Amino acid sequence: MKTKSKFHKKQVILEGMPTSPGIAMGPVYIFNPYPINISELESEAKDPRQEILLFDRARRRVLEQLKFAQENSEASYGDKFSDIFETQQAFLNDQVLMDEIKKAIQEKAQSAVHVVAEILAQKSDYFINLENTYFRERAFDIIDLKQKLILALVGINIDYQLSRPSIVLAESLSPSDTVHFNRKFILGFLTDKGGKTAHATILARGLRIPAVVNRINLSKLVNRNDFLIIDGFKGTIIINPTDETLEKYQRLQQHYQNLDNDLIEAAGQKAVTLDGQEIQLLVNIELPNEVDDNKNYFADGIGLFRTENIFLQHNYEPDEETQFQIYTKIVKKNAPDPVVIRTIDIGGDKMIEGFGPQRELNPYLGWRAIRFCLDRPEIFKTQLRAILRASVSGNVIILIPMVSSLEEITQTRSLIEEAGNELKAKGIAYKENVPLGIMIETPAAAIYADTFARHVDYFSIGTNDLTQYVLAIDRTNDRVARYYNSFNPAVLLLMHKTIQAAQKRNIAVSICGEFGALPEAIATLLGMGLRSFSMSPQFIPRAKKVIRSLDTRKCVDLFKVVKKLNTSKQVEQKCREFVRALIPDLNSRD
Amino acid sequence: MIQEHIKITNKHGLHARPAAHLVKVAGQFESEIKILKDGLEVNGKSIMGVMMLAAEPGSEIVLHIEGCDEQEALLAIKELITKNFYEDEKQIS
Repeated sequence: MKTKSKFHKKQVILEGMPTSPGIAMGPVYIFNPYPINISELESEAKDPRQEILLFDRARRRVLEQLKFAQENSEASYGDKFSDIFETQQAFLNDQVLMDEIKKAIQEKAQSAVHVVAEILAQKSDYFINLENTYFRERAFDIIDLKQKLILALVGINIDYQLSRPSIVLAESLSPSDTVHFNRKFILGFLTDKGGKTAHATILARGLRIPAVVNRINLSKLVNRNDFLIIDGFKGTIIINPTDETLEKYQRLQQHYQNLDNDLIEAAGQKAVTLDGQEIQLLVNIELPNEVDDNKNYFADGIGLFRTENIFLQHNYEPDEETQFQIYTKIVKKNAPDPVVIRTIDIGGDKMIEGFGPQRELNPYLGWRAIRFCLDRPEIFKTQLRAILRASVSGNVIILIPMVSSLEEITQTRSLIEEAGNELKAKGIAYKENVPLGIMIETPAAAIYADTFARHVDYFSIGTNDLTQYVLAIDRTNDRVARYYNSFNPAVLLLMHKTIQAAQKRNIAVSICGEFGALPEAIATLLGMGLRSFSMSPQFIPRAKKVIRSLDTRKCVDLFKVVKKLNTSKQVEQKCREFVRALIPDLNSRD
Repeated sequence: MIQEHIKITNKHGLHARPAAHLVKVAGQFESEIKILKDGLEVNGKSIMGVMMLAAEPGSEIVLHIEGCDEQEALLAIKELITKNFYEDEKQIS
């Protein structure tokens, strides 16, 4: 009998938590290994001796299954996960425990299924209340063992043989479930429960199988005829995608498949160069719900949280409380990692209706970002108060966009102080001395970086606008778009100047434009001395791979050569050759 | 019946592998071997029991041994625990 899908073949997009990187798409296989309701089974044992024989047989079967799982796991990882399976086998060979079960069957004249369920549940309940993580997690090994014994007792075989490549959807998966599936047909794992440190998750990452946790009982809602896409980088889950979405993800998947095989593995590793320099990798996010976990993207924090969307979603004037809630959620989830909150950058291409002139002759040179904010101090202060309050929950940096003069910094500082005083007067908790950063995206800011560095705590280089303003190119104008190139020597010179100024004044500096995610750019930026990058989450794995293949001393040499080149084309070519020679199979440009 | 307090000093405490090792040694003796910690008493020949102790490094357990070979059993178990389950030697080989 076919049940109708809750999703009626309509595209549904959900946000889950990514636990193993990669993109998977395909039909769903709903894995429900434990369909038995024990309370419906006969509990009385007419012949306890027969039940004991049944139990012994089941025990031997499960021992075989575990041995098989262990061999499977060892073929892939060596003995890294063997202890899980060894422990389960040791429990089954525990004569004292086995006698306890048999004695209970005999004395209570109860069926083996009921006795096993009861005794092993007592044991797992005991472990789950222990404080030590290692011992507490053994509860799951016991629960898994209990399920296996019950299935063997009632004679149900778990079907791990998928008939076609599928995304396995389950309420939860045990480590032995994870390694039992036919690897050729496993496209991805989607589970209702789980986390990044669960053994099954670590196994999935080791097997390079994308995995996402949905946290809303999808295993009960999805129909076996539904089609799924899961994005193990961002956590996106799409049920019954449209052709358009499917194509988009096919392209994205192709993009990742073109990358070196180590890339997926690199995603879970640290961004450390060959000479041991640790590089900070942060993510740029647009929407608050992009962050569901502090290590969502296997990154070191949020390098750019754009707040424009909050304004768009709340009729352009979200109140302090609304903003406070949103910021707090993100800050808390990332603590102690940094969250760089950029104050509203509206105007230019992001004109908000209802605020001032609808049309400007030169919006990019017009009333936008910090200029708008300083002219509308009430809107600005509302945002600042919300940020100061949220800062109590973690590590926040306030970032102001489009700065081109010192007055903008000093005026912002006094508004921050006012905002703080207003909160103090009302007795509302907030953090004092929240670090203040500026975007380096106007030529003025880059040229004057050395002075600005004495007045702020943080620089974030916005390469998109910086390139556009330095080269005086409107990227949206087809006639001139081809001249837009961040490898332009004049643009690079200003980036270098900015990084040097930050180092000289001992303040942090990062880069948040698209340029900073390009492999050839990473090499030359490392050569300039940059040690922090912020980018869209999907580029993090590639950036890690690149960083792990580079030696900063060689990047310094590269930059020495690059500095002497005079055209964008020469610079780009040199940087590309350098990176390609080290990582030949890297698909660098999208 | 003999009784002795012993401190657990190996790297992770009575995790699965050291617990299995302890149970194996205990199983070689006729005597009844009980282990106590924080008010919990378990059978020293049961790995489930030994792991339920959740004995971390630095914690103290009490051995209660009773039977014809109690002295030998105590010596063997004591040696295993004080020599940290030979974990260091295993790493070399």
